[in-house]
Amino acid sequence: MQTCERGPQFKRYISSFVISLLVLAVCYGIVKAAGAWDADWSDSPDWGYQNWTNLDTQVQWSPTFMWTTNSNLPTSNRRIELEWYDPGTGNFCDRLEPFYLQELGGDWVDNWWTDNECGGSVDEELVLNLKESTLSQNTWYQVIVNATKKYSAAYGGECNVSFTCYLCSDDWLGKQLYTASYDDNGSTP
Amino acid sequence: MLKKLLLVIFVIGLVVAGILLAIGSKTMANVSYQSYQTATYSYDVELDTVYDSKSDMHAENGILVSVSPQRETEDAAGFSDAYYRASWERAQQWATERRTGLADVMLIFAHPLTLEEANHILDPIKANVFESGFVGYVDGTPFAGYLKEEGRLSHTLQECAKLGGYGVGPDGVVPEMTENDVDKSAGDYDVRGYLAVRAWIDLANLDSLRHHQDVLLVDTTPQDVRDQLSENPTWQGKVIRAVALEMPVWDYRWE
Repeated sequence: MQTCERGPQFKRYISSFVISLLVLAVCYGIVKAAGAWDADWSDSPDWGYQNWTNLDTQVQWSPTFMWTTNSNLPTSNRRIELEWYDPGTGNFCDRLEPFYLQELGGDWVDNWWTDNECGGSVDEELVLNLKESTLSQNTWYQVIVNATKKYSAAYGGECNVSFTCYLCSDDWLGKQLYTASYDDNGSTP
Repeated sequence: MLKKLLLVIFVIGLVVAGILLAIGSKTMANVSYQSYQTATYSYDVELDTVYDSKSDMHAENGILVSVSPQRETEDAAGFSDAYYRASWERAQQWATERRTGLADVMLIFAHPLTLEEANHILDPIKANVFESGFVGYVDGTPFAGYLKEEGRLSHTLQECAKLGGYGVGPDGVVPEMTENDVDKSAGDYDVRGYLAVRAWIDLANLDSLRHHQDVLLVDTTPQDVRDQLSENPTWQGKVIRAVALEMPVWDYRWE
């Protein structure tokens, strides 16, 4: 008798739950359509050639970009972040601090700053705000960045490059790996 | 009856969660990022966060500001004459008012200066320099380099040349270099001098700086932005981590 009474009520629970899930799915779709969580930007550049040089007290890294694969050039509010740590896991923090920036390939950087991402005393991120009005397709844009070695560790590390905007998910472009003694340990791609 | 009530509360809660999911990120963006427009420049303000290992969360860490001067209509790289004029007039006004206290400014030199020449201007007024921009040629192509400084300019032009000496050339050639190659590759750099610095200065020195023969402009825009933020209810009281402003080394005709 009790089972017969709970049947319709159980169905109502299930249908309400399904409807609620649909509402959530629609909302997620709206957010995704707005681009807030889009991590594959249609106006991001390709990461090109680069060089990594291990010096006495600093390293030099020179990632290079070209808008080739994506047909869209960014029009506003875009930035490239050079993350001298692994932002995904929060590892390799406080090991390198950028202090010198040189732009090559044209006048394509609007302004820049360094920022503390891990909570220590080291600014391990360099943000390049793009001068979108000057960008062209099939042109190499490069930065040469020097970073101070802050301390030695018994393990290697990595630096990452992302294309993004404020409060946007990063469109990851590539990474540079280094050994415990800051030697070049390959890159991806 | 109680079950019905719980069911209604549950559904309403889910719907509210869905709505928050949809508009929450947009609302979050609005309260943590704002753009402002003045007659000759605009600026964006955003909340900065930093990872807090104690709470395993990102905590607020002041604000970051990016300034965009009005551009020339014919040359997107160049600041407009109106921007330069407004900054010049603001500096003149502050000098006339005998405004005092520290100010965040950008000094643009009349021509590229050596380390000694630049410090000859900056040292007597105890300028606290935190960024510099120098210009020159690499393989015959104009270039600009930017350095974080810690109070005083310290790199000679030869040392500036060495900073970029390891990189990949603008022709796309990737050299295989070692540390011993530094002098050779640095030799490809012809650094002409410092063209601009960002510094904290005592405004009591503003007028003398404005009239110095080697100073083209004391750009007061960074301090003007700071003044506006200090009166803006959204941002006042927050630590300003950076007021990023392009140094017009590409636009400025130093050659």
